[in-house]
Amino acid sequence: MIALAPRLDPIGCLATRPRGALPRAMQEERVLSGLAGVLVAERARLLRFLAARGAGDQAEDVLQDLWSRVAEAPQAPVADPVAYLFRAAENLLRDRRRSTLSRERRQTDWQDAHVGTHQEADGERLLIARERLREAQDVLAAQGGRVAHVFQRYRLDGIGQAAIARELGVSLSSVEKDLQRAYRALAELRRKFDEE
Amino acid sequence: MTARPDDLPADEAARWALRVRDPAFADWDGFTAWLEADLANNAAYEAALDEQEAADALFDVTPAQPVATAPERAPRWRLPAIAASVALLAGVGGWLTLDHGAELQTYETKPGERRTVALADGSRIVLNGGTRLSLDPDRPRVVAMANGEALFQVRHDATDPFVVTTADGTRLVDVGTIFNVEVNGGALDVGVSEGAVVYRGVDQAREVRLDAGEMLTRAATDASPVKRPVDRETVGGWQTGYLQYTDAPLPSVATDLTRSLGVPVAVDSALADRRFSGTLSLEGGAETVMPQIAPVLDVQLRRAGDGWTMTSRDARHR
Repeated sequence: MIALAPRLDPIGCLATRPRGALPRAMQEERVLSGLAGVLVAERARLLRFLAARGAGDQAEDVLQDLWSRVAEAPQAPVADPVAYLFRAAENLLRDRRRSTLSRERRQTDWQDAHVGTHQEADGERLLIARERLREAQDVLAAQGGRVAHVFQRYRLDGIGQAAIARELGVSLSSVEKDLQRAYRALAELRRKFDEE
Repeated sequence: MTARPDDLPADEAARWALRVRDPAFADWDGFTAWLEADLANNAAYEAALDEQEAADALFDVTPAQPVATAPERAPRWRLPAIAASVALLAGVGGWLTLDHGAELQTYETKPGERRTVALADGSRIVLNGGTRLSLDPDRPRVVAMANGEALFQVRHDATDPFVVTTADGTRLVDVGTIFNVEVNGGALDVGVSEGAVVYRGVDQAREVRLDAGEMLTRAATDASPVKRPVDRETVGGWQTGYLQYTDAPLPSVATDLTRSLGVPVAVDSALADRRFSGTLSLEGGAETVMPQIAPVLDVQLRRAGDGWTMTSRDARHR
């Protein structure tokens, strides 16, 4: 029988904070699991973020949504619970945005639906996608070796920006600038595709 | 193009989008302050994210996608949602094997080539050079690894564990995880950077749990696995352009170099038992790397046909 990962006690993930410094809400909510407890403690900060990040007066609803996800999620040790919660909140808002976008897109696609079997359409789409990939790679290469390299490391190899900066011995802000250049060039290419 | 593009509000939004998308981003209060500074900032930020994600999507093209014309297959089997799924798996063994007749999607890299496969659930597999693995697109959390090396960054789901199988029937089951797997015939190396992995050997009896900072080495299918500590930072280190070793046999270093640089690297039989501890930088391709690493490895690296051969430094023959 294999032992499963140990569950965190309610304050387990706040180990770096001295016990006496725990926020009041946390002490009252000792039964809450680690993340839920941190959510209670950081409620005001999260709400402020959610409101500014487009949730507006629905910030409370979104926080409620976040709460239920955190409460349902299986317990696993989280290195930085505050950052984790902000990240989860950001993802939640992003998911909402995406589902709005894809709903809109589905409606347009429906209007634009053209004749042809599904398979033909898929095959054609794939050919176009491959051609566009090739053009995107050319556009990146035209931005210069380092821009293309940084983009490759970041987007395709999944390396964090700080790690790339260390790797190349350059500052974080120049990695940021390189990525910005890459994305700007790709955005221009996409505008060209849209006009086709 | 504008003369001072950094001054455009859209570029500021793009910079924030880049920062926030980085997994290491921590300045959430600074981000909130920027959003609050101008009501238009959030919309600009969303637009920048949309644009970056759309640009990313240009690269999400899988070559030679099999055309889905297969007849409807039997409903796939699902693990019941229980927390102790790992223990359960020990009981069901072969049920999760891949031979159920579905068309598999195979991903393959040539030596020196690297490739990232992003799965729908957010998991990622980064293939090092000379690697082949396949998965059923309908059940992408079971990956059959034929050969090579890959770094798995897995979204953990206790009800649907991520499983890596090798040709000889060995199974690796994740418990929430970033781990690296190297397969060379029956030889197997597994290093865990985050979370844990359960190793199940071919005989099905032997199970080894590997936690973060542990690695397992098995010389051959029938050899006993050996567990030892590993620096979690260096697991999957090939991805960052560095190879790090502790007491590794030179032939396995040569295999890694072949895989990462795309040129065959052989080891003179006199050095087959030599071991190496240290870090090798892979920056700059074989032509640059070889002369630099020879002294680090304390060997001579000589060109041999298309590739290179490691020979002993003192053997000055020829």
